Amino acid sequence: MNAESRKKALRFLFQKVIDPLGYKFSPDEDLADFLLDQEVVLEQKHGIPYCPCQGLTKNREENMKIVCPCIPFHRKHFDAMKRCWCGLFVHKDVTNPDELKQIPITEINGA
Amino acid sequence: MALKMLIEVAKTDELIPGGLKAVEVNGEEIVLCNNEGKIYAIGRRCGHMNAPLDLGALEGYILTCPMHHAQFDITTGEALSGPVPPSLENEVIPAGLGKYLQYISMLMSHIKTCDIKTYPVKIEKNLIKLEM
Amino acid sequence: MKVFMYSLSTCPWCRKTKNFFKVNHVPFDYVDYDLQPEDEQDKIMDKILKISNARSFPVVIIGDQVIVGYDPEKYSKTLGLKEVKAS
Repeated sequence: MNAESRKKALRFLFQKVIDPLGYKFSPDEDLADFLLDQEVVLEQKHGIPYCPCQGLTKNREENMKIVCPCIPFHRKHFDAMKRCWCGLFVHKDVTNPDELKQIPITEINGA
Repeated sequence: MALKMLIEVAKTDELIPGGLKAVEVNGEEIVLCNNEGKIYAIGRRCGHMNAPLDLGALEGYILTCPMHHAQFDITTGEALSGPVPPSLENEVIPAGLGKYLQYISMLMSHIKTCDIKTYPVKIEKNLIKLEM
Repeated sequence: MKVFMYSLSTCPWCRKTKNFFKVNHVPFDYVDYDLQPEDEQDKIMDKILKISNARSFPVVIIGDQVIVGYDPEKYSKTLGLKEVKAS
């Protein structure tokens, strides 16, 4: 099983999910590629492509909330940042992803 | 030297986009797949544990096995991912049944998910033919 | 001020954070959460949830300030760094 083929498959499968949510893959190709590499590693270990920037625990229900794409479980938070936590996905209108920073959930109203 | 022939296996209207159909040719079990109108032919047996892929799910060019959810590229036969979860070793399961399943799962975690064969497809009018 | 961070070996922002401290000569300690044994992870996550209310990384603790997410501006400000190099 080939990492490049798996990344291509993840891109294909994720695109269908994120599009109706108003997101697209980050135009930062290097970042997106690196994150997908990590997701392939996590998927080989756990069987599921988890977010490379959030922590897994013994709580399965909580772990399900960080299965990529995890946007639906963090909608308000991510919409406020115009990106998901790890930055793999950004709002469709984003042209310069470098301008988007990670904002802790505690600083976001209503999230 | 084996002679290659074009063998008719189905009609084009038997498969709608996203559809799967199992056929048997010369003892070989094959699944026909329709990806947005284009027909592909792939070995029927999952490269992991031989489960019937025609009972799986086709999303675009990716075919997912119904048994343990291994995924394959229907255009090349390449295995894209293996069984989910890779092993029941770390799962929480009731005691008695648990030990048995975990033992089986331990054995299964040694099984590789292999690439599978694909077959060239020729459409002649409304007939699906395979080169074999 | 003492600088400590919780990171993930799979997270690029954690790498950027570590690099920021290195490049600006700020001594720091860190723990890669995902590389710890499960029992250790339980203890660490309990702490992280208490101080940040989330399972997101990186979590940087400078003195008694908790900074979640890669934020070189906040690091510089909290540490009172005069000249800052980009990571």
